[in-house]
Amino acid sequence: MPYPKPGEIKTDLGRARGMGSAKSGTHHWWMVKVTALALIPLTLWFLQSFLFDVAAAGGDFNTALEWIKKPYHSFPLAILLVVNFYHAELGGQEIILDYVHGKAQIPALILYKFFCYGLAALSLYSVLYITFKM
Amino acid sequence: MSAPNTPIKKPRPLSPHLQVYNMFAITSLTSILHRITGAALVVGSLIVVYWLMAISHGPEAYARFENIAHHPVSQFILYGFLWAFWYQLLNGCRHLLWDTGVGFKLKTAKLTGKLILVGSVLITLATWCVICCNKGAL
Repeated sequence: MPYPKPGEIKTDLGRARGMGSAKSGTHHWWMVKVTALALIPLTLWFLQSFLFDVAAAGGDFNTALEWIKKPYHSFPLAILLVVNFYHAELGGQEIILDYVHGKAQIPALILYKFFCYGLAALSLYSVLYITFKM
Repeated sequence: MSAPNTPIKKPRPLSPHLQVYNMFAITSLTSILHRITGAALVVGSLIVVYWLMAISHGPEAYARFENIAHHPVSQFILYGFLWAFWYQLLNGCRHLLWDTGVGFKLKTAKLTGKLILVGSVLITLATWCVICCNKGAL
């Protein structure tokens, strides 16, 4: 920020107005990258474990149930679900900002957040219920 | 001091609109496919949520899930999601490498773009072979 000339001195609010957010601009981008990195081992683990331990064993109800009930399956699965929907929230937000304009934009962003957090909560609850109550 | 309620009229930077690109250049094709597969995978993760809910509701709900999942149309969609997953994973790694400054030359980016397009299809076929060899249903 160049040193203000006389008559151009503004308050922080006056300078920031119309210029978008300050200070947290890279947080969204950074979290996309951090969640992406975490999803590489998590998704690869889930795919291989699902294919070799669940699907290959027939994929029936009891196989799936016993698979999730193992702590070393339910724990990474819970982390995968949370990180996955966080990553989905960040990615979908970019798509909405690019393609939805005008009055519909903010409601679309809020609804999409509800959608992602709802799915994260629902799937996390299901894993916990299966692990501890079944 | 200027009035704080007069907004600065400087136009904010916008994303360039889709139509300005040649969508079939390898770099723009891989870019838009990343977005499309990403959006598809959000929908695809609903299947995992349904799978978890079906298990938590018991054997009858799980049988309904299996009936839907084993339908040929569902199988086709599931393999589509599998390709979207592999594509997103490979191109995501490409993006993460770009962030570290690796492979960002146009020539390299075009080459890796072709590699992930072909690679994602080949890995999907390989996964399909694994599933068939194990006689398991996806």
